[in-house]
Amino acid sequence: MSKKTLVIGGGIAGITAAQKIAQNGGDVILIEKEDALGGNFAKLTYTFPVLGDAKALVSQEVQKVQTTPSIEILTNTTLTACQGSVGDFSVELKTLSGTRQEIVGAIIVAAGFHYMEPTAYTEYSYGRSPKVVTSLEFEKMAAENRLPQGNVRVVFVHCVGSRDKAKGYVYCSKICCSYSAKHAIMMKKANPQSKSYVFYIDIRALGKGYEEFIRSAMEEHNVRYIRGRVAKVLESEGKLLVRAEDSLMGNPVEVEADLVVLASAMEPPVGSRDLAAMLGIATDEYGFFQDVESNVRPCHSSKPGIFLAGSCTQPMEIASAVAMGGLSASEALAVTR
Amino acid sequence: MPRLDKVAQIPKPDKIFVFKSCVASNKYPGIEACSSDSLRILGIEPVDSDEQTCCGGFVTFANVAAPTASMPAVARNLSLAEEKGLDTCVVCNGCWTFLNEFGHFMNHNAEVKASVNMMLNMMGKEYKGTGSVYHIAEMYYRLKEELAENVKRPLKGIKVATHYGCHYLGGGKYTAIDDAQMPSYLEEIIEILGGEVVPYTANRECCGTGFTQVINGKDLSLEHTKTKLDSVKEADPDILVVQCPYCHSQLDRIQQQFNYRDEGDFQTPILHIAQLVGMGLGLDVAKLGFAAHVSGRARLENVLDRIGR
Amino acid sequence: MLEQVKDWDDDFYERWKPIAMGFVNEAERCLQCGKCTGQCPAAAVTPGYNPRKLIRDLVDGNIKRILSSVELWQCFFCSGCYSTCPMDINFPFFIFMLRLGAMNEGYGWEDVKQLEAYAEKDYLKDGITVSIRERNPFVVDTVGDIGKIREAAGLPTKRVVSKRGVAEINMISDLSGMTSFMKKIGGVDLLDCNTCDDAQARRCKTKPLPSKVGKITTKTRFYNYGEPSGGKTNAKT
Repeated sequence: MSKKTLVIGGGIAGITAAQKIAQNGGDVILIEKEDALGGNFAKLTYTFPVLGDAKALVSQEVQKVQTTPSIEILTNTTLTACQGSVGDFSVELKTLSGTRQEIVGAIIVAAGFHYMEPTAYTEYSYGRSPKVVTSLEFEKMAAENRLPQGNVRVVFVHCVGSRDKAKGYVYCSKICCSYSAKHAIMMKKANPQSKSYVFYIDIRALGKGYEEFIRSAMEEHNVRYIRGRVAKVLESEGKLLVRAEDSLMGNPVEVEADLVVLASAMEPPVGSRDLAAMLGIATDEYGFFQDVESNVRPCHSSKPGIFLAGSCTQPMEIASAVAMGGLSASEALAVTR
Repeated sequence: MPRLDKVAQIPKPDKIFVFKSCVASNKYPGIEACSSDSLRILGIEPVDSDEQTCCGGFVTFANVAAPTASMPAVARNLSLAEEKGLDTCVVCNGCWTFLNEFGHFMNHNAEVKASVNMMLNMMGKEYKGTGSVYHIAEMYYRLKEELAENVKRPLKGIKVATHYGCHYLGGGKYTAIDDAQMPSYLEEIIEILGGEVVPYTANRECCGTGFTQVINGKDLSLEHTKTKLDSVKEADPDILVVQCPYCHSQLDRIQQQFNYRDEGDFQTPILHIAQLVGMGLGLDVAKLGFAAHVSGRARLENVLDRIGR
Repeated sequence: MLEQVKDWDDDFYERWKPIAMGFVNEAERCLQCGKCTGQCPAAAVTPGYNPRKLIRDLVDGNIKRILSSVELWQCFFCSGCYSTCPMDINFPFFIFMLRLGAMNEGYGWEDVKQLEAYAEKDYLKDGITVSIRERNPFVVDTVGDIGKIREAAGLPTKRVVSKRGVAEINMISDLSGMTSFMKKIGGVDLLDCNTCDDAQARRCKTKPLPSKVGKITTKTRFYNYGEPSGGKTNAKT
């Protein structure tokens, strides 16, 4: 029986799981398919509901795992095969320098999520106009100080790909309401002259301090919240015309905007079904990894010895991903000792 | 972007049943003449029947005919092509969506189909649901190689804007060959013909007929048409190409009404895609039927002067 | 104004679905997101039309308000709502079926009367709904005789639907009850510019455009279902 645990994914959930296992005396192999740790968290500028420095927070956590001798970090590495059962999984890892075989006692899947590319949303002119960007691109613009300057109007569009049976997913991506409020505040802070408009269907602020955070966007930062899903974004003479209904008034409205930010859905990580098939575990109808029981055993996959953590199970905010990382670590420790 | 998998499913038959549109026949005969002649040049023999009537879409969605009356009327027209073992080619978005939607409905509701056939049997007809309905613009896109080979009168230097029409892209969001919001196959056809595509803001807006609103809600209809025409005028194309005779009629005639009543000065010629293709394929100018057009006649003459008569 | 929920017809939609032959499925999926109204050409030019609210009322069972509303008759049938609906609700079909229901209650006859003539005098007479008769005096001046243009284009002077074709659609109309329905509603007379006198032509040409064109302001836009004329009187006949 092996005492090692394989953690798949070097985002915040995987990093936390690896840390907790190491802190309790276990050995970890942490694999990450990209060339650096940090996952989606590392792509952000600020956290919410408290505007913390995301890059500083994540590098602090990355440093912790990098300086822990019992955690072996393999970047640019993917899992290519997995056999065996709890306590004795034989896995094949493909690294830049070739493949290697390992025997591990438990596996934690923390493969993260993917921001949906809203290419199907042609009504929003995404891909046609450079002034229509996704939230992820907005984060990058903010990090590089490229947010529009001067007297500009910025429109934030909720539920792009979420709550949409026709072109996206039926589920709610949970965090878009909060991060769009964060973006609107970031916009106001970067350019106090700008005007921000957030188009929403329902505001879902399910977390400590979230409601207060979104209210602060409205009350302190004068972000205009308009209830209605944006119908169309048209290009007109270098501007964007955003059409929607103000559904609380029952009236169609048009905003002449300079930048449109699409809060694209959180979708399962690319290749999640292939990974699940390789591991022999179940996914849900969307491709998220399926837990056996969502209330009391949220991190148990359908196969003993393989545990789940973070947003590869469902749309999730950072705090929950960290909590789930810790929980899966304790489950892994329980089967490897 | 066109859905290439859908395009590939469109056959290239030797013969096709050409379903005539009311507006094309009685208001803009150039569309009727060009559609048959262009298909012939592209290698498809058009087959006609004088038994075909109007698709019945107008009287249905004007709520004069209930579905119980329009289903058999649709089935009857479709059976004319089925009898000959052919698919149907339409020139009108309305005919396309109406024949498609109701045909599809009958194919998926055995009871409705049976009761419709009971009525058709009394006339010695039967609806089987074996034929498909294609829009002529789809056929042109499918035959784009043949189209490119046969261009006799390139539209060199002619600025063309497009208007797709709601009932093709909107009503057929899962059946049309292109994306409902960002279509581009007409643009491709224009480029094959040698024309220059002009974008404008209100491209995907409705023409404003509002189906029956042009008759009993004229204030709403004209209000909307005006926003459309204003946007077209800004881009100033030589030709606005449509693929629906009903849009054609609205955009062509309402321009004149605005002009006469000093509500603006609109002089954009409206052409159906069949006429544009006919023009490119070098059909005789009389065949194009421009004499029936009411707006932008001078500009149309100028276009013909530039590309040759 | 206070509405009594007990006055609503709670299961109207459920009862109606099978009657409407499957044309009106899935309204209960509506998220009330407003994407339909945001792109709606009719909502953009009328004070009260709102597809989202019509769906809301239908699912709630507030059917009386829908059937008696003028808004029901303002839809453009452009299918833009269906093309953007995230839940794939084919709203134009709802309007179509709801209008049939409204006419049953005696509403909307004034609108349909205008259109009945096209069915009676063109579709059932010639087999072609849009006839060669011209109802626009400006067009007659510019275009002249369509028959000559057809001849020049190499087509027969007149498109004629065979007698058999016309007889068959009349048979369908009789058997399906369309003819008797048309008799009940009645129609208006349609003018033909080719045959009318100079005085009438002058009247048509000088008739101003509807006054609202280009002048609609947003200040009057509220949820404002009005009562169309004729409802209760027609229902009694």
